[in-house]
Amino acid sequence: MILLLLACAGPEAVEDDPFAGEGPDALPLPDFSDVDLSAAANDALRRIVRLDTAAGWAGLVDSVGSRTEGCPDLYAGTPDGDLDELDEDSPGLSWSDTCTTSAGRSYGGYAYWETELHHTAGTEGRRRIVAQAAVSHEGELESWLKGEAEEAFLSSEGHWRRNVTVDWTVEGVVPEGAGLPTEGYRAAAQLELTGGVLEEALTGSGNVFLHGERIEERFDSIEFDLDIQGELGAGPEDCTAEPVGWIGLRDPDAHWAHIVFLPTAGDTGVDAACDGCGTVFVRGVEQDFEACVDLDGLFELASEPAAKDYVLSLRDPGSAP
Amino acid sequence: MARSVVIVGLLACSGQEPDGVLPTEEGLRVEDTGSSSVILDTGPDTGLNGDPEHFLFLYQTGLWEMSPFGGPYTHVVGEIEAWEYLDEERPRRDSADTAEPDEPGLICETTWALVGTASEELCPACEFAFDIEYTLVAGDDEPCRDPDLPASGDVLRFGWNETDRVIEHDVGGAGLWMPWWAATRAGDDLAFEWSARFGVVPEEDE
Repeated sequence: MILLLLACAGPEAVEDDPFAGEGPDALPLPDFSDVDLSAAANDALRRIVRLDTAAGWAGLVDSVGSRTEGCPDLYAGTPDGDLDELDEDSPGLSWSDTCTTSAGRSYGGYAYWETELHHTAGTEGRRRIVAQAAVSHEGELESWLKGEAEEAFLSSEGHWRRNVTVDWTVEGVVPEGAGLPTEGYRAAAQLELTGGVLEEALTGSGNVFLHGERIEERFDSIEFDLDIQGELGAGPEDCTAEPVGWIGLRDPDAHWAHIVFLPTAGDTGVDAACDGCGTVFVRGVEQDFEACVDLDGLFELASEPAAKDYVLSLRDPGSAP
Repeated sequence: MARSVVIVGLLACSGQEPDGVLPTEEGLRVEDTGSSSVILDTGPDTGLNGDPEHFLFLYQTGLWEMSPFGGPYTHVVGEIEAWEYLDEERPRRDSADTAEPDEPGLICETTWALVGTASEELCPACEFAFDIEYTLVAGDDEPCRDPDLPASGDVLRFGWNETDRVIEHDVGGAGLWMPWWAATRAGDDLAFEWSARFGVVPEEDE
């Protein structure tokens, strides 16, 4: 009976709604007024263009070069048949151990790598690392690699292209010596970078979490989805003053600021200015100001891949017969 | 007027990354991966410093015969034999004899014919170099695990470093020369051999 009465109560019943008049609170926005978002975006762009596997590779090379007989144990192929990332017939080499050398260098975990290098008309190389490996010496972390990374390049007559896929954490003094940010990072990203004498361009997406460094003393993470066309190789319709896409910056309170660069032409119905500036969104809310980037010199930060960095052999020629 | 946007991926990285990694001097900690665990060694004897469960023993022996007599050399012919054994060392023999059928542990036995011509590209310390084509003439290379074993038909570049008495290999043909075989030269012949031991995870059918 009560249910029936309620069902037939009519509109006046709304006046008794205990939630009437209450809506969601306005989204509290962080105060970024003391942060130079343009400088932060420029810093982030320069970190993105240098995102490759070189620092982690340096850690791996050092760990292999510092080995002693039996520490760590070396394997042809995967060191463990139960690793999801590696097949039993994986063609590379690896080390796996929990040991300390007589020199006091400790190895823990495993590191697997594959390399390829071919030279015909141009030079092609590829390197892949799958690791969960720590190497330390006298209490200092020399390298820590966890995850998977792959990088391939093609170079010919001063023109080159590099494809990078990373999903890993890298730390340690050896990778830092090879350009890793202080205290390392966690990165999951894909990049295609073209450089040299014919074209400069970058296409990529992903995120980077900086373990120690802060961008503009505020942001610890970057996420991005970008296409950037450099001056070299640009067509008449290309905008070389700004990317197409967006850059996100996160502060330690997990508040994000995004700078969105709309296309300057095409079939999107939008025709934004090619002025280097993008619209700022804070926690997804559009702001009434912009942040601007300067792409001058950006591609000069990316170095041409070197063939020697795509070989890591355990070949010991031994003694003559 | 404020307007909201949806940005793909925003949520994927929206929180403080959990504490992890960071092996420290006070005690090495391991990042929680949820998939596998690794114990990091901090001392000389944790009881976990075990050997691989299985070993792969690799052996190669070969000969170059160079011509014309006395040089300068323009051509080379020769042969390489390669064996791989699982958990067994190759029995000592006086020469590079063919392995016995059903020899314990033998998983790979191949013979490669070598034919080469002089290369214009030389290693810095080399007296001469050849571009050498490998042709598999006996055996099956499918079960071989040596990552440096070529495919039949590959053309690889090698040079002779008389000072170090080593054959160097131009890896990938990219001008990156590495010591490959220690060798002994006798007149117009170069004899070389190589062996190595690695841990290995046998494939299920081995």
